[in-house]
Amino acid sequence: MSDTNSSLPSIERLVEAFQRLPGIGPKSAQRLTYHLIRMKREESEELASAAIGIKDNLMTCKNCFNISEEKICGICRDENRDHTMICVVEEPLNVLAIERSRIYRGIFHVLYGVISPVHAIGPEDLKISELIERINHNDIKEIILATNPNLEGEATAAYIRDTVSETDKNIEISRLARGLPSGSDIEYVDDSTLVHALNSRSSIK
Amino acid sequence: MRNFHQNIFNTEAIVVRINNFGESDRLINIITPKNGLIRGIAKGAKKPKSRIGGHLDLLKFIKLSVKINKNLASFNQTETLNSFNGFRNNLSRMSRGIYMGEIAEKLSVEGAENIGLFNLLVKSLHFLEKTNHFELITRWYELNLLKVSGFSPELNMCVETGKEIQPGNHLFSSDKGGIVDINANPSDGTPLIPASMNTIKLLRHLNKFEWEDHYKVLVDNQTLYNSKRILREYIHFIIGNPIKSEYFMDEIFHKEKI
Repeated sequence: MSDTNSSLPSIERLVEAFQRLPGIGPKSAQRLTYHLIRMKREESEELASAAIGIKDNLMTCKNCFNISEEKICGICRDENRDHTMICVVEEPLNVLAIERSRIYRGIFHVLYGVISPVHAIGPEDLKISELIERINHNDIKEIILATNPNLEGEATAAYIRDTVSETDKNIEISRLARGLPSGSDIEYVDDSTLVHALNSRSSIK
Repeated sequence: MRNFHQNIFNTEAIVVRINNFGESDRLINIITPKNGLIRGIAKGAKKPKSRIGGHLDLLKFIKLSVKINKNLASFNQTETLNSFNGFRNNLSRMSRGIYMGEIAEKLSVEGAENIGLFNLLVKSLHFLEKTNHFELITRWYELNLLKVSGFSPELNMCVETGKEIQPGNHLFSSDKGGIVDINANPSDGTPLIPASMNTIKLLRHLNKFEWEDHYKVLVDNQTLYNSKRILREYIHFIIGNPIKSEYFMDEIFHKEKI
């Protein structure tokens, strides 16, 4: 009996490879594979070389641990930015999100996760000691804790707050404000978000 | 999935575990009074405009609609009943709360009613918001959780001889689930933990009374440490798996002491 398309080894190999990506299930993996079959050879080569390129060319910045093509990332090298203000984020993608706002002009520190006791992820698994080292060796005036507003993000922020307070530096520690997302409906907002939104309300001028 | 009485129902619940899934979904474990542990998916919960995402955070007391499917349940129409905001900015309280949720999850059974366990968890999180006796409330919770799960340790009779425990220092056996008289001398090589008279008295007291009665209990550090050691080893023996949140709780405990 002849092979059906789906059991051809080269197709199966690519379907399996796609399925390892986050958010890609078997159906999406098959769709992407069959799309690649229809693509021109040059386009497939470009995709493959881009995938290899990120492994060859990318590294983490020695200062902030953001993804970079050089030892020190563009944000850390930028002399026009405020190097006394560090925004602490969970993941490199959070740097992109905050940069999209175009309002923040300080530098970053990427933790690579949050304290998650139920998953056995403790402070020692994150880049917290590296943050303290940066604080000790640089003139830092403010730390903005931009971890996610959930219990694990709060635990991480509280842990960093306590650890930074133990240093002899006089540093202002702030947390991103919490409130209603634009376009949301108050009826469906949870009570802790409402509490924060009411506490952080601002006057209309 | 097993033993659920209905396919779609509304229930109260405490969120005890969250994992990100795909681009915007979350896999969530909840403990409910009538259906025990439920593992489910909250579609789109990571999106900022999600109507359910904000309610589905660890240790939130919520009301929600559950649909039982073949593999995973799905969660909808969520409403927060209590966020326990009192411990969300305090590491000592948070670390104990997370631990309480984890051991409750390990002792819960999918689809099996355990109203006592659910009520105890809700009540203990309430108490944890207010008390400063973090170690004492954790021991009280552990003992009561063991009780509602059917594993209450024997604290009055020797589990080796069956005789009443006389005043004095004795031993505790996790394998046999209770106090062993110091003179009983078990022959089977069971590992035993020292249990001073003060420790036994504390465990009996916590086992017998509601939390309110313990506010004024004066306990020395050694007794607290011994009771922690006994209950921890006993819980490890029953659950059989390591309790992951213990490490973080211990780290915060050591910081408190400094």
